[in-house]
Amino acid sequence: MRFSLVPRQAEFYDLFTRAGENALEAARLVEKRFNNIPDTTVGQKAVTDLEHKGDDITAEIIGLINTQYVTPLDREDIYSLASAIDTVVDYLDDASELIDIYHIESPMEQAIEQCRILVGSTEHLANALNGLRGLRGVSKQLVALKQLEDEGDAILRDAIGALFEDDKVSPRLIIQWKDIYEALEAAIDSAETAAHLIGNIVVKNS
Amino acid sequence: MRILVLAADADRLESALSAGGGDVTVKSHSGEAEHLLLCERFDVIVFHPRSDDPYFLTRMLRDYPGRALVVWLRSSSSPRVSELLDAGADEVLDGTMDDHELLARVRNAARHGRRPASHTLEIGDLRIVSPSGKASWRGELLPLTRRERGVLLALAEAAGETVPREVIYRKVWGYSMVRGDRSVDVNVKRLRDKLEQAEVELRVRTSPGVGYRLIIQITKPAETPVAIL
Repeated sequence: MRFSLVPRQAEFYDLFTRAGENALEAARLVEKRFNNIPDTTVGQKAVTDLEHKGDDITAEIIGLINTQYVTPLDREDIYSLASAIDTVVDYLDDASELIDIYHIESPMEQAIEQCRILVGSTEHLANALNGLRGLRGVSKQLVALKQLEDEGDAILRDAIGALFEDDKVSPRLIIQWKDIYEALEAAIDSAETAAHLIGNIVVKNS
Repeated sequence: MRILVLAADADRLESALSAGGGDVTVKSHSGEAEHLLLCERFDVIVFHPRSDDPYFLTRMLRDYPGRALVVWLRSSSSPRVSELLDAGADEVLDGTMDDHELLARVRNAARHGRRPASHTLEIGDLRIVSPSGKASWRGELLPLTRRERGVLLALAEAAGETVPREVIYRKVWGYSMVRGDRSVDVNVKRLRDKLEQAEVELRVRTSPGVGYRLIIQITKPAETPVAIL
């Protein structure tokens, strides 16, 4: 492995911007899939393609850390943030895949609400990543993302509670939707984890 | 013949009925048995009446028409047997009967047990055969899925009255509806599309926040052109 002495700092920021945009695109696609159940016009493949694209961006960021002598942010912070964004897309892919695995025939309003939260969260995450270069307006995005995450927690509690309100609910439906709600919540939580890392970067570098 | 036995100590019944070729499933709790009945079809339900669940027979009569209901008593008395038969049981077995008699009585109950009444509903030119829900419009069979047929039947049986989503779900899916579940809405949407495509003069109207109702769509006669002089 050869270290480069010519700084390529702008590339890090560009890659983070691309990773954020990719996460947002995946969230929008997953929202579309949940909204349109049982219509399968938007297939799982499109989401998986974005997941692979996210993996490639993460690999590029890690490759750049390994070859750059000087990095614009701490190496550990860059690595952790890249991994966290990648995890958001991984969970989105997992949740979306469950639609097919469980042969879901109709949507649940609570899952659609979770998707709305996810699109909002990844939008704020993408904006924060885009503002990372000059640390402009990042904090505002992080606060908005945290608020959405709190809303997501309340939706999850309501969604799981609804599954157990009546003892004559289909056990199959409980298994399917509990898994899906939790996968969507994991994606929301991982967006918040990424936001925390950006928050730490802001504190260190301002 | 599929037999569901609901009794805590059912070894003898199980061996007697299985020996006669019956496909026997034993459950010791009524909750488990009722869940199983929602998922699977049994020809005969044999149960031991419990003092803490006096309405089990009534529930079975209401919720599972077409199944033979057989009561299993360890020891019986004439008044108790009369009471159970009057309440709607198809047969009463007791511990004094030998295996052959038990089996013969269960078979007999299955043969003569209540059968689901098949009837045809007609709304305008729409004919729906219950309980299958097969529907035809002016003699043409409508290409509906099992769920769509169920939804149409549930709406047709209410004859123009609003049927709450939860009631449709319970009738068609056989379970309680979870808050937020859009299954009924999705199937109503598909049903509407298919009725429109088949030019059926019936419409499914939404009763906001409640459910759906089926109404006859009156088509206006084509206007005759008026000559302007």
